[in-house]
Amino acid sequence: MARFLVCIKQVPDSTTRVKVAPDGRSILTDGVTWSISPYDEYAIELALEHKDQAPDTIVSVITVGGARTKDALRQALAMGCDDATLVAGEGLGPLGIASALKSSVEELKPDLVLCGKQASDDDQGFVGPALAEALGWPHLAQITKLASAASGFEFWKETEGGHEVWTASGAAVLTVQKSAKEPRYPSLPGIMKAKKKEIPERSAADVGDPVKIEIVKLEPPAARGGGKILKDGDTKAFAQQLATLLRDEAKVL
Amino acid sequence: MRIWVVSEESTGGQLRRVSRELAAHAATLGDVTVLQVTGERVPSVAAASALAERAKTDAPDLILVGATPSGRDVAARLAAKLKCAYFSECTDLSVAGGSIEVSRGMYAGKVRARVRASLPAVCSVRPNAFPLADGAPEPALTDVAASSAPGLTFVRFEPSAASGGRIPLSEARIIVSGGRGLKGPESWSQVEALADVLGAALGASRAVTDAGWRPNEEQVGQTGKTVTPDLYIALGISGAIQHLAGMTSSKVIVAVNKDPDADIFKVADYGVVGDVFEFLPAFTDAVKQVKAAS
Amino acid sequence: MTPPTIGIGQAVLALLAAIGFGAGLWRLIHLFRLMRIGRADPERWGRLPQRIVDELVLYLAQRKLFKRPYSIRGIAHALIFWGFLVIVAATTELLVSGISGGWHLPGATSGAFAWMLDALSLLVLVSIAIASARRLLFAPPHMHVAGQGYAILALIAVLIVALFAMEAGGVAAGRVEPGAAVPPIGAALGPLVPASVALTLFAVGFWGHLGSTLFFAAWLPRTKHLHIVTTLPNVFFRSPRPRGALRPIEGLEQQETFGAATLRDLSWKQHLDGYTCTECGRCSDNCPALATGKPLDPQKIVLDLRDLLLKEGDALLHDPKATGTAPAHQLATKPDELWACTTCAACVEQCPVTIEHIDKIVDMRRYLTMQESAAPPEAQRAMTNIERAGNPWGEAASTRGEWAQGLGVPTLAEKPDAEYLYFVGCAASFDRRNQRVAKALATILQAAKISFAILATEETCNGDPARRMGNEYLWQLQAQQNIETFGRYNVRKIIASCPHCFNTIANEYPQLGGAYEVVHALQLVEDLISEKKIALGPSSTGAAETVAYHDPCYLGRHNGIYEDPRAVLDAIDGVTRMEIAPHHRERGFCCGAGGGRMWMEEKVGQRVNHRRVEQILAAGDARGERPAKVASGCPFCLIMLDEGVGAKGIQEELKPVDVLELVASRVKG
Repeated sequence: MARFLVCIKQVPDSTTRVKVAPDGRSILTDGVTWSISPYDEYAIELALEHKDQAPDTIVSVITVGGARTKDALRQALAMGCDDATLVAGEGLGPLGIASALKSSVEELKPDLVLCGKQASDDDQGFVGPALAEALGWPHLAQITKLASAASGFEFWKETEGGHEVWTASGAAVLTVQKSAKEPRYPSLPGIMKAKKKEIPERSAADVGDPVKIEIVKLEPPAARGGGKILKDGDTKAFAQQLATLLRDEAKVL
Repeated sequence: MRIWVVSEESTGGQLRRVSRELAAHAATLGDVTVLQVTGERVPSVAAASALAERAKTDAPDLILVGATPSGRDVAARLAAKLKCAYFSECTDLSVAGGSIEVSRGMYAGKVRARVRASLPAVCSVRPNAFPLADGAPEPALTDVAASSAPGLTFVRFEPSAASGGRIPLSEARIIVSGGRGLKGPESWSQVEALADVLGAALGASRAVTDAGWRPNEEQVGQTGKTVTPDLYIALGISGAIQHLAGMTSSKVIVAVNKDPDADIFKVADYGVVGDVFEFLPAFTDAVKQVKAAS
Repeated sequence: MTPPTIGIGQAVLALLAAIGFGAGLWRLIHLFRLMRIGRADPERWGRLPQRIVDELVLYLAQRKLFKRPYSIRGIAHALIFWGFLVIVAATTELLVSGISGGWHLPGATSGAFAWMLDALSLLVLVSIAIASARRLLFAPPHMHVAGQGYAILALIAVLIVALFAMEAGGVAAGRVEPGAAVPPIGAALGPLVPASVALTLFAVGFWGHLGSTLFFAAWLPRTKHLHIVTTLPNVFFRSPRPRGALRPIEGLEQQETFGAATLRDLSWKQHLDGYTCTECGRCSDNCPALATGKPLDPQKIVLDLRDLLLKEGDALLHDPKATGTAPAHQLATKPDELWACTTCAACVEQCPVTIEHIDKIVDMRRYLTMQESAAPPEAQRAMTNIERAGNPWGEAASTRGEWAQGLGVPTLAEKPDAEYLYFVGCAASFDRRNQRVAKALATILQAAKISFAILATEETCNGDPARRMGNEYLWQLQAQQNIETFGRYNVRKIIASCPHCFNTIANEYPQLGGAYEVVHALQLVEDLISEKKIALGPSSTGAAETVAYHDPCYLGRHNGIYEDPRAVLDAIDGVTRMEIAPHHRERGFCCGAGGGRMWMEEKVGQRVNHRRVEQILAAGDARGERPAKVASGCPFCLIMLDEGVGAKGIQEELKPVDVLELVASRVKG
């Protein structure tokens, strides 16, 4: 009977248009829809897909944050996770979050810890490896598949041209890129059960957070519409112009 | 300032391009050591251990790694071991007074951010962030032997079913997508030529996959895939909402269509109103030139 | 006539009657008990006057039978039915006089009754002959022509022929009592009967008629002719809801299971529908999904549920804890059948016995979506988008009002005293093509100096796609959010340019306490034109054009709005309105996007919207001129018709537009 622990983060939903605050150093949170970071949803889905095959697997979910993040935990419960824990702590940097998670991991004793590849707010992907380091566990990234093996699990790591298949002799941290199917839509019984479930809280007190990241400036995303449309001229010349614009102005080439 | 550039195993004796870019740029900031972790299928934890061990004596102020998937992985673990700041996918960086300031994307790449932390720091840097000058000297390489990776065993490699070596849509940074305006499946040889030059994945509108011109896996849209590339080039696509729903989160949208009123132009950041068949070869050439020059 | 049963015959007849009716009643009671496995259905009670009117119009006067293109066949059936009513009276009278030994029901011996009986019986016989010939020689595609059908027709024929034989023999044998009328057929055929066989013929006819009738009474509840009995209650207990409104679920969150998890979760009335299906196939004939090769057949949806009840009902009756097969999984193909439905209501429109197909399909979808989370993945994505972004396409909610920038359209926050709220809807807010329709309406309203405002970012999806796809929970969340917003601004009057918004807000929001005066934009524009609040000028090119009108299902069939859009088109100078005959008005063909199908893939058969475009072209060809435009009043229809003409490469020859766009291009001021 295996136990998985999925670490999730609550972020502004991908459909929300992010607005930068007037001071340029943070984003406005008014009217933001919050949801589980997409790669974390894949991690949950990967764990639940395994649970579909091995129903006695326990899938626990955990997050570090404020009271609002309980919504994300309930979303995960509604998808089918067995239990959820909130580690109360706001404003922690990635190493602080990793430390905060470490003590919960040591108490819950999962066989595997899963994280999403990166959170869709900071786009970093630091906490997973940092947690593995704090625990002294190995970690594997770009995971797209989890299979049962003779003793334990096989981890499929996506690389160029295919997958590397690895095993671990003990516990490990996985950062997940994708699951076999899209993250499941919660059933209504799942939603109802999740509403009533107790979510225990731990505190993140005395957590070391040695690194401070300072946001100097945020530039708002380009507004859609009013783009540079080249017309009434020579298409071939426009093609040239476009290539230059994409390299110099848009910086995507 | 002491700077490390950490590189993945080089292929055929030549250092990876991104590592050479970083080495050249780092040389403008201080003393550079280019390190390469040797060994086959080295888990990131083993590479990071070896590098962290060496850092105890070398004490680099700044460690740069090319932002390839494995590069990011090693960089993150290394930063955790060194308990220092980590910035992924940087597009620019500057150092002043014991701090580093980097430019990077946030919020799924929709926001440009400048962030700062004290040195030492580890940064994974995007390819092409620091263009390589022609004739830049090949830097000296120092090999570092990987540590053992307790607890992890490589079992086997599973090659994927031939997808022609194309990048999967969902992870692609650049997507070239074709619609009904391309008239027929034969046009795709030109589309593929452009995708090759850009290193892009191929996308398609539903009309095109329905008509059997392209496989269903390429369909982008509300009933196909949702994609979030840095650059989405829509060729001969009208811009109906069913398609937009799949690509509207792209950072930069380029549209080419002969109809100036096509709805796609209302969401495009750049557009060309003209014949897509005149555009394609000209643009492919132009991109080749632009890439060669950088 | 004096019956041939005097003496022992009376007892024999009484016994046969007991057996015949007894057997029939036994079976009916069993079916009744099975039906009662279904859940309670409070909406079926009350509103007595309307129910009585429905009974008279739909059952007695057979009104739905005459719908085109079935009018002649409808008349044939009506004759059979009315004839049947009279024959029942006659048969009853024969039984009574036979068992009593000669006592007749009042009026039974009158000339009027005799003529009515014989005339109708003859007409029924002729109708039976025609019906048999039709089934044998040119059976319609969706009618079940099983052996049972012929057997029943034969039985009715035997029944009537026996009656005539009895009359002939009875007249010849002098069995007509003094003062009683001589039945006309008897009078005509009697003289041809030799005296030696007259009495025998009379007895044979008598016993033959009653024998076959009693056999029919025993057998009827095991055949589709059960509809003779069940149509009466089935019409009486039909849903009082507006057609476009789905059944609400009260106390959703407290339920143990969701949707039609078992036969017990379907209501008794839905089971009664199953008994009442006459297998006529009119629903199937008109279903756009079936017509384009999808696995959905509305008749099969109804009959499969009936068959499931007959198969598993006894087990459920005997064990209150038994659940049986989930209706949505009765067959491996059932989910595909269910998801193919566009809820266009062509089936419901046509059904002569008022079966409610859509409710069954949605109840089974509710189970798949809410209980099992088994909606198609693209549908789930649309639902997630509605939840998180307030629209099924996942466009940023903060951009919802941007279409109106620079047009001088106030928000309710800016103008709380506006007379009308224009509820724009997701399509017109986010789809670039449909934004032009919203702008057109704004232009018209401003020209008419109507006081209106929009909600912009305070508006959220009305929830219709979620509800149709079976996600009742999400619909309630969305509806409650909008109702709360409307309440804050004290909204009384709402204009919708989308029939789905219109239908949900007008017909379904009241289920959650939100009652408003809701109009579709074309209803309002028709008023503005006839009240001369706007004036329409000539076309800028001066050219005349033919515009086909496509009836949106949620405007037409669901809400009976057929005339207003047409009147608006007719008011535009130089526009010649073309009907997409015969698939127009109540027989309009769906564009394919309803029922949440806008967000699902069509993987089988022909695209419904492509078939519709073909119909438009065919209708044009039939009148010698193809239309230059096809106009509708719905954003989904517009998107689907755009895709359809594009797929066929005729986007320059046939341009889909919204009627509002045509009006806006001509409105003065």
